Amino acid sequence: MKLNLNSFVYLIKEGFKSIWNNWIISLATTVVLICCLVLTGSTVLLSNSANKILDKIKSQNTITAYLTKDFHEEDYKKIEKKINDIPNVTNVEFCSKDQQIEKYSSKIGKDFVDVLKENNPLRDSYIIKVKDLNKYDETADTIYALQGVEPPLINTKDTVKKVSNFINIICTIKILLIVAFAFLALFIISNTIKITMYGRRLEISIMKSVGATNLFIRVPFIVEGIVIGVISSLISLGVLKILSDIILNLLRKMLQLMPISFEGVDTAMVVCFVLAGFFSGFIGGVISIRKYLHKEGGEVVAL
Amino acid sequence: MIEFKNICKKYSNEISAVRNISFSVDKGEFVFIVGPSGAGKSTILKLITCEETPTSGKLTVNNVDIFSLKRRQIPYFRRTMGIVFQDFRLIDKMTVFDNVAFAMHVTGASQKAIRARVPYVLDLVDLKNKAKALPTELSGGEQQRVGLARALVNNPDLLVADEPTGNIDPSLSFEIIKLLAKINSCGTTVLIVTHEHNLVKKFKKRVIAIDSGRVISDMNLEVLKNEA
Repeated sequence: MKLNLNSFVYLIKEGFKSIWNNWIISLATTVVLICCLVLTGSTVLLSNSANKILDKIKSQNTITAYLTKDFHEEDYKKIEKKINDIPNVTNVEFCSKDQQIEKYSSKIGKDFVDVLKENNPLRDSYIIKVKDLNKYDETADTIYALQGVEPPLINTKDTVKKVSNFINIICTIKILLIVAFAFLALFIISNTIKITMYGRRLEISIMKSVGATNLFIRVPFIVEGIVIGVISSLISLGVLKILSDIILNLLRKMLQLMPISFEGVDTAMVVCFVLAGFFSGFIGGVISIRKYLHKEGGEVVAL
Repeated sequence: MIEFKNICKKYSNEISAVRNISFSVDKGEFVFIVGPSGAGKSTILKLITCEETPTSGKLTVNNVDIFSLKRRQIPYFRRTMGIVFQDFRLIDKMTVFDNVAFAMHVTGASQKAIRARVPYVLDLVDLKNKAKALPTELSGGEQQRVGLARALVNNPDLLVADEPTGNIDPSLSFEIIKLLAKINSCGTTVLIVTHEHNLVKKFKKRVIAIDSGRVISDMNLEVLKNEA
């Protein structure tokens, strides 16, 4: 079953030649595979970005408590003490509404900040760090139950829950898509190779009659599958990179006030895509040729 | 070289193509297998090339017991013989040279060996000047000579031809058999399945007649001619 170097080089060339000779089928397969991969890749990117956002929210392990109105300095101290007395609280930091406005000065401009300061719509708040994240909800409820304190409009607790739910849905879609893609890719590649093989069944029957081993017959078809798979994965990575750059730029512009970063195409994704293309091509090639390897001479031509 | 001992071949539909056949072919012999359509001639060739396995009996080809041959050994076994088909089985998109070289690629031959051997074999079948032509540009007789060159290129000990003149002009049939006789004179055993009695009569070689899967006669016309 061994192949020598002469045969190996010859068969690799034959694999490439076959792609060229059947370029319409090869092109159609590549386009369909690219669509599958882009769809799956988009879901993976969305899921990765959502995970990153959730991690960021979770890693902050802080509770923001807004004060319902402006208080006297003594009242501030009383509220701060009450918060400090809650068991899970490790640190309480006061953040005045002016300080909050300052945080946005780089984004909205100093002049605008000065205007806002005159009639500041924000409210004073406490940034409270908690020790145990598992008791996050309980601690937040205790804080918000205090008189003069209320949760932010965008509640971190609710945000974590919503993002978590969103991520779960995306992950489910991602897994379903990856499984569906794997089957679809195998189906498409193996069908392409079946069509190529049908066109080359005479060649296969001649190969068998002159003493070609099964490996010798298989290699060009496997090469064809792998090349189509890898080319499709590389093109789809390029498409994903362009699409994600466009979408991320739009999102960054739209959400520039929010401290959120999004995931683009990274090295791990490139490796995964190329491997997926390689193996779907390889397995597709192996599966589709089995029928022909078990037939002999005239039977191959008659298939 | 070839030994059939009580060989039977039954297909899955219970049809017996070959019934208790026994004969042997020695190294360097030239043998015609003749008989009407459906007599079992092609099945005999398929048994020799291991396309089919006998149902019972003992079959030895090129000193290999077919029953003991493992599936993965069949390709290597086939490299010891050349096969010529009635329908030529040439690849239309390949040139004459490439069609012949194809059989050498299968065995893992180097480019150097291919460049040396293929022109030699094409010269042998008188097609050296057609090396760059495509099969569709050739006549039936020329196409069959390409098939013959492909069968010969790996220098086989045994050459089997299944109705090699079936698809060509009768006037060219004689040339093909003459070529096969020339190859045989160089020491290659030749086994031809045909139903063209005129050719058989002309060449006066050993003839095995088959009918309904049985050998009905086995005579050497060459010997008979010499005796006469």
